[in-house]
Amino acid sequence: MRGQLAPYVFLSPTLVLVTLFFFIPLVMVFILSFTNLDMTNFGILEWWSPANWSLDNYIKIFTNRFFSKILGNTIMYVVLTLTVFNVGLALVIALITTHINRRAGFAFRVLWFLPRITPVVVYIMMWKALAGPAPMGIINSILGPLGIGSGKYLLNTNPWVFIILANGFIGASFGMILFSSAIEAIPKDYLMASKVDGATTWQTIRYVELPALKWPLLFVTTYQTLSLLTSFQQIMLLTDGGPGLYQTEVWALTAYHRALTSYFGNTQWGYGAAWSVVLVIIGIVMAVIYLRVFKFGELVEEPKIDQL
Amino acid sequence: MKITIKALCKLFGKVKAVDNLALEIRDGEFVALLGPSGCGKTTTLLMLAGIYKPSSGSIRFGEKVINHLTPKERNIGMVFQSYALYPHMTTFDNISYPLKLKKVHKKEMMKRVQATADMMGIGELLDRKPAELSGGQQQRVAVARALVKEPAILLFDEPLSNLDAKLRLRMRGEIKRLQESLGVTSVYVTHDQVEAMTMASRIAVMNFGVLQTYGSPNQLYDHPDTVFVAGFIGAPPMNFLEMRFEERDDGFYLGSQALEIRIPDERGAQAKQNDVPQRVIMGSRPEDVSVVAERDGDFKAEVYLIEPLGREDLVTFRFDSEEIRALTPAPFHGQIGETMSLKLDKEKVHLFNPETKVSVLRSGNGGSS
Amino acid sequence: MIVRPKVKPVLAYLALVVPSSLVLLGFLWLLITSFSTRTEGLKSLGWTLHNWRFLWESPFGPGYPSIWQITLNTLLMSLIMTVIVVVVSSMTGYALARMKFPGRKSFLSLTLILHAFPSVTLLIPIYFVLLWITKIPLIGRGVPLLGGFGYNTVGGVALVMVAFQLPFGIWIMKGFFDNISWDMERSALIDGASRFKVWWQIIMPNIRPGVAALSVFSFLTAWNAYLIPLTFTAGRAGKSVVLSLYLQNFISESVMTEWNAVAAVGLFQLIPVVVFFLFTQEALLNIYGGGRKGGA
Ligand SMILES: Nc1ncnc2c1ncn2[C@@H]1O[C@H](COP(=O)(O)OP(=O)(O)OP(=O)(O)O)[C@@H](O)[C@H]1O
Ligand SMILES: [Mg+2]
Repeated sequence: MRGQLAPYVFLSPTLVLVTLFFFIPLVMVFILSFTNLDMTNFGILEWWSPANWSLDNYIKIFTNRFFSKILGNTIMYVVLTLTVFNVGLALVIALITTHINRRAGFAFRVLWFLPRITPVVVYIMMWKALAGPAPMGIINSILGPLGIGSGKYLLNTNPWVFIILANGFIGASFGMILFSSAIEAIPKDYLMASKVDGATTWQTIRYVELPALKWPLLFVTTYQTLSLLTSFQQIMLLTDGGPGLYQTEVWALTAYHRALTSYFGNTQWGYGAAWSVVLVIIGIVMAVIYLRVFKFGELVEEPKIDQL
Repeated sequence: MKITIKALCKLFGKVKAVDNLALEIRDGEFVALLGPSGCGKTTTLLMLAGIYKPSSGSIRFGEKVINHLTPKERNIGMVFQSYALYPHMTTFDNISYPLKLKKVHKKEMMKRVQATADMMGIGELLDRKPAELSGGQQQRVAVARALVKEPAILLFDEPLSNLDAKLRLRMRGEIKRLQESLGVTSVYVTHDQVEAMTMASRIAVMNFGVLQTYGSPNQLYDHPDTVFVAGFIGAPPMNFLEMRFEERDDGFYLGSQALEIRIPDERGAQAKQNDVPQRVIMGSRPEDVSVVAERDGDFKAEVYLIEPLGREDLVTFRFDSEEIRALTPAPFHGQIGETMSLKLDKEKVHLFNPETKVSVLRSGNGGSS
Repeated sequence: MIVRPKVKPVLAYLALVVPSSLVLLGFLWLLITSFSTRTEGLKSLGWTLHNWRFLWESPFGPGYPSIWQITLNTLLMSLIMTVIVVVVSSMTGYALARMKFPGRKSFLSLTLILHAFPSVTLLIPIYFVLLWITKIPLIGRGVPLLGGFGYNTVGGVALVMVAFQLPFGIWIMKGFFDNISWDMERSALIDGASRFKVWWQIIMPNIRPGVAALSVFSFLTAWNAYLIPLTFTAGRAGKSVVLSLYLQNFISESVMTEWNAVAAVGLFQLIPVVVFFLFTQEALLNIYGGGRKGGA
C-alpha cells in the first residue's frame, strides 16, 4: 500500500505546481473565453455564471478579417525559425564546434549563447540598432559605403527577416547545447572504431553521430515548435506586429494584444482568452502529432522494479 | 529459513518469464537455479527478493506468505552479476549501507563491517572507491555487503561470470565454504552447469520459464528426466540417437540401420512399464562410448574430428548420417577418416519418449518433482 | 565526395563565422553605446561614463534601492528557482523513469504538452491564483527573505517561473535516470532503503553531471527572466525586485528613454552570467543524459 503511494509522493510537487499554474489557469481561461469580461465590467460581470457565456468570441475570431493573415504569419514564423535556426543552424553549430579545436568550439558556443542570456529588452535594442536607418544603423553604416541598400530602416523594409533572425539566434542555442552534449556523450570507442575503419569526418558524422542524435533531434523539434508557437515577446518588442497593419502579427501576440494592451481603449480579457484557447488547442494537437509521429511511447521503457 | 514456492508465474506483457514454478528449499540448503539465457532465472530470484511482484502464485519464507513484503522486510542479501556497488561510496560505506539503514549503532557497525571485510579478505581496502578495485575485489565487496546484515536468505545472480577462469574457481570454493559455515539458505543462479554441480546440494533446471527438473547433482546426471536436462547437464553433452525399441523373447533391444544393442532387462522392463513407444530417443554420454577391438564393437563409425582436452580426447565419429562423440583416453590412436569400432555402455543408456521428451526410465515418481 | 574533406574545414568556419559576425557586431555596438553619448553605426560620437553612474549613485533618488541590492535580489531569486527546479524535476523525473504507476506514460506526455500552454494565455488567471495564495496566512506573505509565495513576492515569481521550467527539467532529468543501472537500485532496495532513500542517497549522487547541467541552465534562465517578474510584481517596489525589471526604470513613455543607460544596465546584468557561463560550459555540455531506449 505504501509502495503504491510512493510514486505519487514523488510526483506531488509537480502535481501541485501544475495544478496551480497550469490547470486552474487553463480552466479559468477556458471559461473566460466564453465571456465578454474586460476592464470596464471587471468586478461587475459574473464571468463564472453560465448565463453570461456565449460563443461570440470564437465567432469573432473566425470571422476576423485578419484571421488568415495572422494564421499564415504564425505558420511562416514557426516553420522558418524552427527549420532554419532552432534545428538546422543549431545542428550545424553543434557539429562544427565539436569537430574543430576544442577552445575555438567553446568560444563559438559562448558567443551563440549570448542572445539567450542577454536581457530581452537590451537584446531587441541591439537588433534595432543593427537594423537602424543610415547613418545610425550598424548594417546600413557598413553596407552604405559599399553602395548596397537604400539606407532605410530595415525593420520597415524587411521586418520578417529581422524577426526570424532575432528569434532564431536565441532559439539556436537551445538545440546547440543539447546536440553538442549528445555528440560529446557518444562513447569515444565508437568514434575511434569509425576512424580505424577509415571513415572520413563526413562519414563519421553521417553514420555515427547523426544516428545518435535522433532522440535529441526529436525532443528539440517538438519542444521548440511549442516554444515558438507560444512566443511573442521578441516580436512585440521588435515590431509589435507592424510596421503594416498586422504585417508581423502572430497568434500569441494577438492574444496578448487583445487581452493585455489597451489597443482599442480597453483590455478585452474574454476575447483575448478565446484567442489563447485556440492557440492552446493548436499546441496540444501539434504535441500529440509529434508524440505519435516520433513514437515517443516506444521510447519510454517499462520500469524494471515493481511497486509492491 | 525454508522457502516454499507454489504455482509462481511472472508475465512481462505477453512473455511468460516464469511459468507455474513450484520449488521447495530446505532451511540452510544451497540450491542452484540452472538454465540457458533468458529462461527466467533472474526473474525468479528478483521475485524472491521482492523486486518483481509475482503475477500469480505464492512465495513463503518459513510458513509466512511474503508476496507483498517489500525487499526491506524480507531480510535477504543479494549479490548481482554486475556487483551493483555504489560508485560514489567507499568500500566501507558500501558494506555498511545495509547496517546504516537498519540504524545499527555506530560502534557495532564498525565492528561488523570490519569482521565481514576481514572474512572476505578485503579488510585493507575499506577506504577505496569501487573504481579503484579489481573485478575480484569488487566481487568480494558485493558478497560482504550481502552478508553483513546477517540475512536469513542469500541470493546470488551469476556472481562469478565476470571473473577470469582461475578466480572463478577460487571464489566458487570460497562462497561454498562460507555458505556452509554460516548455514544460510541460498539460491544461486548460474548458467554454468559445472558451477551448479559442484556447489549446490540440489539443482533446479529451468527452460522457457518452466521447471524441468529438481534434484541432487548426481540424480540429474545419472537419471535425467527430460531430453533437455540430459543434454544440458554434463559436458561434453550427451549423444542422442533415434532408435527402435523392441521386446524379444530373450530381452529388450534397441535398433537402427547401423547398429543393434541389447539393453539390460531391468531398464527394458522399466521402459515398458512407462509405455515406451516404438520409436525412442536413446541417450549415451560421451564417456560411456568407447573405442574397442572390432569383435567387441556394437557398430562401426568413421573418425570425423579430434579435439584434445588434455587428459582426454573428444572424438566425433560419423556413421550413416548420424554423429556420435566419445571421450577417449589421450592420446587417441586414430586418424581422421579411419573407421573404428565403438561400444556403448548399456548400463548407462537413457531412453526418452520422442513426443513428450520425457524419460521412460523413471521409476514411479522418484527423483523429480 | 573526394573533394569534400578538404573543402569542409573552410566551409565549416565560414558557416560559423558569417552568422556569428552579426551577433558579434551587435554586442560590440552595445559595449560602445554604453560608454558613449551617441553613436553612429559602430562609431562613438563622444565617450562618457555617465551611463554607468547607476553603479555608484541611484539615478532615481536616494530612497531607491541600490543596484547592488537589486543584484543580490536577482541572485537570490535565481538560486531559489534553480534549487526548486532541480529538486522538483529530479523527483518527478525519477518517478517517471523508474516507478510503475497507472498513467505513467500519459503523465510523461502531459509534461511535454504543458509546454504548449502559452505563458501569455495563463498570465491573467495565474494573477488570480497568486492573489488567492496571498490570502493564505503565512505562505502568502509571511515568509522571511522571499516575502511569501503570493502576488508581488520573490517567492511567488520564483514559483511561477519554476512551473514554466518544469517540462524541460523533467524530461532532461528523466534522461539521466534512464541511464542508471537497475541492479544498483535493486541492490539498494534489498539493502533496506526506501524508494525515497534510494533516490536521494544512491541515485542522485550518481547523476551529478545532470544536476549540474540543469542547474546551470535554470540559473541562466532565471537570471534573465523578464515577462513573469514584470507581470507579477507591481509598483516601485516591484521594479526593484530583479535586474531585468530595474531596466524598466529607464524606459518610460513620458520621458525620453535613455537608451545608452539601458545598454549599460543590460551589460551589467549580462557580464556576470557570461563569466558564469564561461566557467560552467563544461558542466552544461553534460545536459544530454541519454534517454534512449536501454539501461541495464
Ligand atoms: N523487466 C522485464 N521486462 C520485460 N521482459 C523481461 C524483463 N525481465 C526479463 N524479461 C524477459 O523474461 C525472460 C526471462 O528473463 P530473465 O532475466 O529472468 O532470464 P535469465 O534466465 O536470468 O537469463 P540470463 O542467463 O541471460 O540472465 C526473458 O525472455 C526476458 O527477455
Ligand atoms: Mg539473468
